[in-house]
Amino acid sequence: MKKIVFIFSILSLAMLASCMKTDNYPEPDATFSGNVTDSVTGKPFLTGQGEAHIRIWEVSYKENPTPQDIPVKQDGSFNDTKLFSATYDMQPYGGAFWPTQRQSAIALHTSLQKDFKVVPYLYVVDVNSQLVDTTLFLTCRLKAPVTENLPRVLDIRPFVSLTQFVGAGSRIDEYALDKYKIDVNNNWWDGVGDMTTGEGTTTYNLPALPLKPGRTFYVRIGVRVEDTYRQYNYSDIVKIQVP
Amino acid sequence: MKTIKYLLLIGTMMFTISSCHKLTLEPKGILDDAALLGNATGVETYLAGVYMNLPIEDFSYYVDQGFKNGNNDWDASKSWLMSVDGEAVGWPGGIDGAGGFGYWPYDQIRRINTMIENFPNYKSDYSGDSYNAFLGEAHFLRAFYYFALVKRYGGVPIIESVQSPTADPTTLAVPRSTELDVYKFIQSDLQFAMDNMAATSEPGRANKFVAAALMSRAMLYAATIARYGSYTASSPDQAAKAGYVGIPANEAANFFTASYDAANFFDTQNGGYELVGENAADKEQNYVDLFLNDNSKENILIKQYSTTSNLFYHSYDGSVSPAGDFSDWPGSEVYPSLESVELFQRLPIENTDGTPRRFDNRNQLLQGLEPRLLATVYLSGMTLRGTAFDIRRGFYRTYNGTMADAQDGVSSAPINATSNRTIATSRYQTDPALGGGAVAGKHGMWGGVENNTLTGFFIRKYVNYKASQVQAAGNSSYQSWIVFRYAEVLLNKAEAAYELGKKQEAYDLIARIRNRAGATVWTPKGAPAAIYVINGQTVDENLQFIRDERGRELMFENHRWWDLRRWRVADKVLNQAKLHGLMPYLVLDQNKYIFIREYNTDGKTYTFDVRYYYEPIPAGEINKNPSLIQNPIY
Repeated sequence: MKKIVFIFSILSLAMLASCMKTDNYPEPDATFSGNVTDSVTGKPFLTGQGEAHIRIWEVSYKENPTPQDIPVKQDGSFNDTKLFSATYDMQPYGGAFWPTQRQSAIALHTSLQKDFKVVPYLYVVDVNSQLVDTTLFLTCRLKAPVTENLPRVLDIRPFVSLTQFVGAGSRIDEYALDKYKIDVNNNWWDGVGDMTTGEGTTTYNLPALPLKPGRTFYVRIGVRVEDTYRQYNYSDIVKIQVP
Repeated sequence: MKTIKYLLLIGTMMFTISSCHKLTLEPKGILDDAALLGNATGVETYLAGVYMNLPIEDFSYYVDQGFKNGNNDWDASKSWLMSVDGEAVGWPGGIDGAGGFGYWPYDQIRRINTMIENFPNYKSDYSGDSYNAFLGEAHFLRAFYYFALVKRYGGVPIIESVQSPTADPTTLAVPRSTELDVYKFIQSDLQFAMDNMAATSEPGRANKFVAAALMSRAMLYAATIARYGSYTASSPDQAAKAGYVGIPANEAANFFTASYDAANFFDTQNGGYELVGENAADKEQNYVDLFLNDNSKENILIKQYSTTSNLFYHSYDGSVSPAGDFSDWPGSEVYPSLESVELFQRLPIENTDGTPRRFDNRNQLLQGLEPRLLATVYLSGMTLRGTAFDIRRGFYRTYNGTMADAQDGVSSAPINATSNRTIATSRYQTDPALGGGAVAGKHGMWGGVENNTLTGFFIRKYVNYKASQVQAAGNSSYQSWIVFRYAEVLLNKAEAAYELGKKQEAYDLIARIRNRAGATVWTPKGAPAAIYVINGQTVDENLQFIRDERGRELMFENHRWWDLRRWRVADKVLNQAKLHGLMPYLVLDQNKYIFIREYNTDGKTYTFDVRYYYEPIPAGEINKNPSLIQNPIY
């Protein structure tokens, strides 16, 4: 009896062993990194976590391949360490910037550092924050690097978070309510700003934000235009310490 | 011994020689073309399989999983279209499933093509019109499949003959046709069906008026996409450049005319369909019964379920009313939004000075509401299966302020401070201020999607009030799904007529619909203001009212999602939208009820991306057929 059990256990082990297959393909080991910068100011493009992408097509694999999207970080940098060494088409994609050209046939061999330049739709400038007791008052103005054919400006909204990773994907929902936003809903040339200088005409006073005492908040202001992706152009992050 | 030898010899010879007989007989276990296409019963059997898989968005349609064939789909209500298009709030956490579920029914289209190709060989077996009727039915069914494809993807490959698996692979990889060509193909198939089919049919099967109903719907879709869609051949996107998405604007008028003519077909050919109950005394009851009567003269095509076969059933009654008092299981999962309710009329819950109106009891709100609204939605105080709906969010100790002071119900509003307002966070929560009574009503609302309302409303349309509480359970509902009804044809006609400039005719049709609904008389504006400007085209107040009438009349019938898409307003209507509910509160110091407009208790945000105007071509199909070009922005 013991023998039979023994034989069967050996046999089943042997059978299971046949389930193992060695993957004989090399793993993706190429690294692709870089920065998305604002071609007007030369500074990093300000966005939120994953609110803009670098879209790549592995054209050496086949014609018309399915694209892959590499998310861009808050400071405009991106990094993907698990790609195949191959030839790619690349394009900054899906963010709050003017449409970009697809750059073809870029060779990625083991590692590639490449920067992309984009033109943001809008800047949030002259951000002024004033804390009265525990209430935060924010003012800002808009500026457009390119005014011709700028899509309609939709709304301006504050983003508040307890961490420095503040943006549309990381915020305290209470402050995302509609009562804290300003609806602009107008074209740039219908009084929002100047067509030649690109300066916004209005200084916007955002609705007062009641904060909780004893905490540190990270706050930034975002503005959207009515393009395909409707992502936000952000101001710099302001750190607010509520006493 | 010798005998055995002979016997064996004879036996072997019998076997071996008999094998010389050639087996050229047709196998009896397989139904071939002649058996299926050579007689009426055979064709009906053949087409039954096609009907079975017909893409009808019924009670068991999942946004993210697609069509089911009436089996154990009790959780379909967690993925209904109405809970992603803003009509109602349910499980989906926003616009889930807008990317589709990879629908690609070319196997079904091949079945129809096989029939269309081989049927002429058996023409002599049929007498009179029955041959034409069957051929017309096949064309109708093919158009139905292509319409389900084109409204999702835009242009798709048109396959109108049976492909041979041994053909040259390059000829099998058919590229997409333009969106315009697919709609024209649907138009020609349906025209053939309308010309050849009979005027009547048994319930559940098509006739020439069913084809006309699909024609009026499909052509309206094509026309609005042509007028309001923004993709043209000069768009930078590959798929738009090739015309796979987008229809040239100059085709809009043709398609509107085609839709209008198809609706007119009902009059010129004496369809015998009616807007049921235009003179009914009880408009509310008439409208309720409309959806529960298989023999109604308003039904153009229904999809039946069967109590006898134990194969075809759905779970509607168990999924829209809360378990316990009204249903058995799974319990209610989806609730009409206040936005839907106030599409009918602004509810009289405010005084002129902005303060919430005081009610002695919650039933008072029901007085004077549009009968059609009451037949579509259950409000607190209405009765189903012998029990009244009891809905309450909580209580205010006192309410000195306006509706706006409640600030959509957020807890940071001063009037909503916990010292003044108490809301239920669990089902059996009690409070000393109520003498130990329950804070919430019996059927809501204490948060959480199941079995208590998120919005203060429950769905009434299609609810089979004659079923008992035990019968109202998962997998045991059998009311038919109405695929086309005459009211939709009239609404199609009204929209097409208005877009074609026949405004008075559109107004008259809307007046008919509203009269049957028991609604107030609408006076169109002489100088209507613009509501939207889409693709350079103005949508004025009167057109918006006609569209809203469609939203009211066809609410919860799986039209809204597709309508918002084809009007190209979905990204405006569902732009970071947070849906509201109507929350009944008891005001303690006055012992009266007030109703507050608030965010629904689930607090989701709905945002429609521009890319959702087309679903992505399934990646698996692109892998198989590299000539398929993906839709924009995917």
